[in-house]
Amino acid sequence: MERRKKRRRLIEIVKDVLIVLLALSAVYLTLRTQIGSLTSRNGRWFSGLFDGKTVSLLPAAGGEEAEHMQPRPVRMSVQLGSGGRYGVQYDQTAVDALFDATASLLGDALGSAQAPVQVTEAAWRNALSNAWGIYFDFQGAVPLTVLSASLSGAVNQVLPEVGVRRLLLAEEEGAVRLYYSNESTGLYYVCGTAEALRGHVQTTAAAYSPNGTVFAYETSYSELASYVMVAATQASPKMYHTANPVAQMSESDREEMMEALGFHPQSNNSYRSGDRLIVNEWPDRLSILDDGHVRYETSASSEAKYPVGVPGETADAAAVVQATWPLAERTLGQHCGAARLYLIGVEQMSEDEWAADYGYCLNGAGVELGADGYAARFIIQDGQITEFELFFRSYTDTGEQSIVLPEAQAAAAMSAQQVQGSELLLAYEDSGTAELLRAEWIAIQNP
Amino acid sequence: MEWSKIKNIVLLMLLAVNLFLLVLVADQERKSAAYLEEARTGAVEILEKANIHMDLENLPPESDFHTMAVERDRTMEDAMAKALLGETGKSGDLGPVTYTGAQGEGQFLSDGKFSFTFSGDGLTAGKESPAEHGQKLLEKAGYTCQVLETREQDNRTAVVTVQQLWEGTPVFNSTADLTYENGSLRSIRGQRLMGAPEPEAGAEPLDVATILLRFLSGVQDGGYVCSEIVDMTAGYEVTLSSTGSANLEPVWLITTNTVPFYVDGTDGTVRQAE
Repeated sequence: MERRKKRRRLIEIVKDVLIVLLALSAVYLTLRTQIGSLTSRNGRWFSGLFDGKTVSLLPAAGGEEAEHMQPRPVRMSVQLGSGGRYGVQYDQTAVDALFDATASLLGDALGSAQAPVQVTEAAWRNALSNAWGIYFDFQGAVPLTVLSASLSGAVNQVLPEVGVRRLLLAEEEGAVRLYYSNESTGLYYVCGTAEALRGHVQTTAAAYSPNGTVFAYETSYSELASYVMVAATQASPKMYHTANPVAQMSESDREEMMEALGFHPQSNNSYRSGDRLIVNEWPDRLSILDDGHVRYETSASSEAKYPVGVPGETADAAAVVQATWPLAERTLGQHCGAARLYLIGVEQMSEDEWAADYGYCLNGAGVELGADGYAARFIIQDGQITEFELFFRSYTDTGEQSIVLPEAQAAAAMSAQQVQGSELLLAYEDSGTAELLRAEWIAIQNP
Repeated sequence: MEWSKIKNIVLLMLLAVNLFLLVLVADQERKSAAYLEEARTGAVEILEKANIHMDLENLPPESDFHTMAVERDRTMEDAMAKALLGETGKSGDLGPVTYTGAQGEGQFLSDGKFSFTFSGDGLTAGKESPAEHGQKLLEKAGYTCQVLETREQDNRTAVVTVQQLWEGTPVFNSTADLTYENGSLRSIRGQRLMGAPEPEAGAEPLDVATILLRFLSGVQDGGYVCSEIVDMTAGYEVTLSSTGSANLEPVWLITTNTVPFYVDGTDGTVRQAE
């Protein structure tokens, strides 16, 4: 009797197990028939689950939010020894492709750079015009320490904290040297680099063919600033539609922006006053203006909302960029459409006061925005951001070209305007209310 | 009703459902395989109409290669230097790294370029051919590879060119040259994967039929001439980015009776192989 009972119980257990297995099998087969057929064409998400392979659900590279600034040049050239020069500007795709192929070399040079030594402008020009080399122009003045941290993974302590716009990797006398010009003093410096880099600049440069690009000092364009890059072909910049994204923001977009700035979107302390929405989270105050401006100010310094650098230590340019870049990128960067943000410069106003400016760039041409020119300005005092102003603008490619004068004619016109020695650049002037932007040549008098 | 009987009924129902679904899945798989085969045959027919011949038997199986991300791994550099140079001293923390050992010197760059120079006769091919010796040596150093060619430059010098393999798949632009003098290894210079590839979400790989059609379109648009596809090999290419990392992108190498071509495995871009 007892044996029969045991046998019966065993049969019931087997039935339970079978029911579970068959149910699981039915679920699996259903997924194979319904979803499996979809994913076999459009994705590998489900098939990835079943074949045991690791499938990453992260967005594709580049889609992730960049927390650390990765400076990118707006113009570059490759000098093929005495065999000519390949240069690219006002074409961000081409500049990016060249930078992607050479950035690791620049990173290795920055990482292994020895203490800089001052050189004459003639030595800089000789390296720029005659040695095998790769030239980078970042448009703004990027602190050398920020470049080093971004491209070689950590700050090379021998590099000074100066803003550099132009760098040159030159291979001469069997060694690779890193040249740069200090933007604030106008002086030129050279650093030795690791012996391991020997031969690599030449090998990299040899992959490019000259396209007739020259620097103004090598030509008869005496009206132009020395390092204006003159291309053999005429630039054909695009036209862009502009819009004020703040005016077009939905409630959830606005909440997202406030969250990105560290404010509570559901705050009871927000109210509308005339043309602006004001959020008061004492001691911090955020004003979102209908014209696209967003302003922040704080009235106390004890609790830093946006700390800069290590508490108790004096902030430096690298810390200023590290603290301000994510704020600009998470806000303006998410709404600017075809534009790209770039660092215009970091300036030390006094011992504990810094200012960092960011601008918009459209396919390698800067946007002169409003009266001040910048898209974002951050003021840093005593180790925290005490003020900032963001100017939201959105740019869309119209698919049409701006008609601009050839560079030589623009230079001649510039000469007639008595602005000799100015930098001739293609730029877009955006008053802040314009709806259509055309590129035009502008003359910028550099200090 | 008794629980045991209810279970029997449930079991029978589940069995029926499973059988039904099994038939459905099998039918779907069969149709899918037939569709794929039809597309592959169709692609070959389109090529034939464009006067490019390809044997159906030469059509490779579908590949499941996806874009992978590669970050620099300095421990792999340490291991490679130790395997080739013995105990080493190391210099350079950021950017390029130089290793010095009893056998010679080695250098690694951030973009995966590497080079070794050997001073003594410690690494000699002996009875083996330079190709066999070089391949074994590199594999011991963590660089799995296949020999592409051996060039005799004079009676004393031979240069062996190898191509790195990742999980048995060629990485087309990751190659290295090993120079032998009188049977002794003198230098290694080339490109390597700077770390272990990790899966990264990205575009889906194209199937073989689509690759062939993109190839045809690329050849016609580019004004290239060829009349036969001799071979199709799936592999990878390393592409660098300014962030210091690299990607391993799926690429097809299509060898024709004139010049070889690379066809991007995800967007179908065609370019002539160097």
